[in-house]
Amino acid sequence: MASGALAGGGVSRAGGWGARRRLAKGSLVLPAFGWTAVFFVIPLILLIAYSFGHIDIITFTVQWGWTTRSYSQVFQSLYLSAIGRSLLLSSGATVACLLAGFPVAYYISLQRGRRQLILLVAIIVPFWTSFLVRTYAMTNLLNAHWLGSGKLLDTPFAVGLGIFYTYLPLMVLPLYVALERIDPALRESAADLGAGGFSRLRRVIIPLAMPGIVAGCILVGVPSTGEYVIPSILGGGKVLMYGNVVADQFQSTGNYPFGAALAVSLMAALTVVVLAVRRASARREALA
Amino acid sequence: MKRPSGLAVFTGLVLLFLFAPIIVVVLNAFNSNNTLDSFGGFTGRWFSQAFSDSSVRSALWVSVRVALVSTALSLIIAIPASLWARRAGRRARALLDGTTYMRIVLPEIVAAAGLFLLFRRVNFGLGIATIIAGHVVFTSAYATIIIQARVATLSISLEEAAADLGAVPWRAFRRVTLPMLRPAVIVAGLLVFTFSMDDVVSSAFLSGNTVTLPVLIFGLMRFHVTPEVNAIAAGVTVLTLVTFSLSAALLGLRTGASIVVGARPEEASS
Amino acid sequence: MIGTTPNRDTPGAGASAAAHPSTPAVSLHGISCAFGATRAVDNLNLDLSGGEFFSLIGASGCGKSTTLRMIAGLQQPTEGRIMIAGRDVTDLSPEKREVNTVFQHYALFPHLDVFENVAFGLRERRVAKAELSRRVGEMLDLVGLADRGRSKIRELSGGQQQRVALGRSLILEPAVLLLDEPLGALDLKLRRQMQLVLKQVQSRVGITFLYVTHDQEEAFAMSDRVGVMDTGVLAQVGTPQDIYRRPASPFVADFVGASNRLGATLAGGGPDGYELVLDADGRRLRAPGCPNLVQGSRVGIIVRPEAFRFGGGEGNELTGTLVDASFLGSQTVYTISVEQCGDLTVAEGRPTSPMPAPGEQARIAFASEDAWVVPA
Repeated sequence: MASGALAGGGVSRAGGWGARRRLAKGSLVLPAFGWTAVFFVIPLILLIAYSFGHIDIITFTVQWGWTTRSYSQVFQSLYLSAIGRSLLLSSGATVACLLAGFPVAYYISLQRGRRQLILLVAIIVPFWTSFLVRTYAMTNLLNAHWLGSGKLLDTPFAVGLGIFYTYLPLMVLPLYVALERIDPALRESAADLGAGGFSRLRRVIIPLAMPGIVAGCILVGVPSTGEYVIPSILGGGKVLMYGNVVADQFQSTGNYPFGAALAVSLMAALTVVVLAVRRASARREALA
Repeated sequence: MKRPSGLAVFTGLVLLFLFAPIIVVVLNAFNSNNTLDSFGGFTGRWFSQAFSDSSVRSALWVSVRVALVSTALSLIIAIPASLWARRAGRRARALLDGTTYMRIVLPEIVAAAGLFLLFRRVNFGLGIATIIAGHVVFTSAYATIIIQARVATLSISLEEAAADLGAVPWRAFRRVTLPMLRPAVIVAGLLVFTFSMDDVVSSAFLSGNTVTLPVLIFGLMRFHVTPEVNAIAAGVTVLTLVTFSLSAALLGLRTGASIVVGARPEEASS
Repeated sequence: MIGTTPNRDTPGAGASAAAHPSTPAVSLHGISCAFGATRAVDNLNLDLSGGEFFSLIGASGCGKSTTLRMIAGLQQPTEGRIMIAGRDVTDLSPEKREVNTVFQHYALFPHLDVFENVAFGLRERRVAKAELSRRVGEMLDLVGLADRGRSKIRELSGGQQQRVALGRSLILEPAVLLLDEPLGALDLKLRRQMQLVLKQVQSRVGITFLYVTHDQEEAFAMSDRVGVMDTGVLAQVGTPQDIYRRPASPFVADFVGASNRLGATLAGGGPDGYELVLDADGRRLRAPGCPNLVQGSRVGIIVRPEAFRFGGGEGNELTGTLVDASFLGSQTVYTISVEQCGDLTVAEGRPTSPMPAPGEQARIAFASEDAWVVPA
């Protein structure tokens, strides 16, 4: 859709009137871009700038200068384990969400009418419910004495389970959308040509649902890597993830350059992963 | 009735898994046994205790104000942007989609840290205004994808018909487009309100001495599991259900569900 | 073959010898399909011979697609048994039946190219690579897409997609191929072309085709036999000529072409020549018709528009007023209002005598052999 072609109610007018209309139209997006620029982009730039500075231990002020000291600190073993654990837990939880969410999304996409609606609502309600409450609910569950003598709380497993529990609806919804779009005639056709249930899944349904699978994995995997609340509550301060380390620098230690370096590293790593995944899936779409 | 398929059973179990802990929280909020190792009988004691706590009440009031303003700002940002996107050039629209997507997907901690630094550098005091600024960054993104998905289903020919019948753009918008957007705006508004009421990370970083309800609860949750916390959590859950039921009542379940489901961050404008 | 009774058939003219000439390729016994209170298909009995091209026609909602889906296994009948090549397949899932379907909108797999679509079923059967390539190549040749093996589905035109769908099913050499209104999405000229292609392919390959369509002309053009369905039951089964010239009921007569129906009472006689008393003016005439008509009952005399001639001399004459004349190109259609008979439609290709103008009196006549008597 070319801009301007439909501006001004369907007739493009040359000269000042048209130009003014176009300006007015453009101003519609100003709040969005403006807010994003000031409160999103600039902060990120600031983070990058800070990450190249260093903190003076005596005066506790931030010195500017282009140093990569903070970045080399990032790779110190002390923090690497926290980083590694973040990646492990979030990717583990993502896989779990996928394995649990796919059958559910598939089942819902097969339903019709009222039943489908009720099932969707059943997924949306947890999604809508306070994230904090759901994390807390997991605490309750893991705290319960009836689970046996071993205390499950404050373990990496608890944190992983917490991520899985809170992010699961976020995986189901895009999966459902992708599966819903698949023409039922394609399933019938595959069966008609001799493909049994599992074969249909493998050869037709999963390939066609792939965009949804990718979307769901990104929606779960990326934010969960930087999780802060869940490890705090379910990990009891003993299971540190990336988000905790970053928050720590800003809230207690005060080593802003280091915190910034951590944040920027995380952002860079995730951006690379997301771009790579999207390019791979775009290429696959083109080939398909 | 036919024997339920394996898929149906599995789905049932997953749903049970999703709902059971929440239900337990709500039930425990009434549990008179304060060690929570068994159910002792119904009491509303914890609720009255929670609400008589002045720190809880002031935190609640802060959160509500923040959420209301955040919601309003988010809608002011999202609605015009979604309308603009319909007729924008391909690259401009890609820019909008990309930044919207990033605001949702990027871990909140990164954005919050950056904002923290920003306010520090310009020496702007941390408080309600800064919390709102932080919330709106991601709530406006959620509002945008919900409304954009809805806008995509609206045919431009309807506005052209209005123009043909003599309506200038503003009136065409008001009389044709806005009413059709109403369901999406309602869903977006209620959802965003809930998210703002629920936010911890940005609120913790950008609040300074102000305390929002989720931050308060978060603090309590980290250290002890008290029945009072249960009550507050149950209260928050009820609030969630109220906003959801409100959207369901205003729009009908089917419309509301389709709007939430239809919002897809990765291809918002398709 | 005169007056085939509904719900039972005898081998049609086009039946060629199948592997077991006496075993029908498809056999439906008492098939019913009910959705709640409505019966989409009601007690259907039908046998299809090996190698025949059979069409099932009827209006929307008559149950023809449901019948096809039941044979494919995509819909479970609530009653009855389905036999394919002698085997009872009623309880078998679609993937286990020796039946393949060409779907209405082709249902080609968008994520696979042409070659992979056609090869899909063979891959499912774990056919060896070399043989698979060979067979797919041959099939692509057969349907005229030899150079498009690696094209994406979305790059193909409607006609090409249809041929891929055809090839994909044929390559599995099913006992019967089901086609569910496959030409519906194509424009007229392409449709005609594809009809020829389908007919040629079917003769070459010798597989039984069951073709579902609402287009009567299309069915007549391609089929050895046709079955007309009406709200879940088979109204008539027979060759196209049978159904057109000797319809079993007013419904069938109307469905397969324009028809004029003259009310009359049956006075006597037999199927080769009934004695009739015309309602309009009480005159007597003779005409052949459906068997088993009861003496004294009310009947309709079917006369096709092209059976009428202007002017006298043919035998049964009627006089009326010309209401309308529409030039359609290949023929002109006249509407003539005859007292006590209503508006009659007459079609003439090349006029042999001077035509009356609208409002003028017109004399039309038809020969008794060209008429056909059906129940009222």
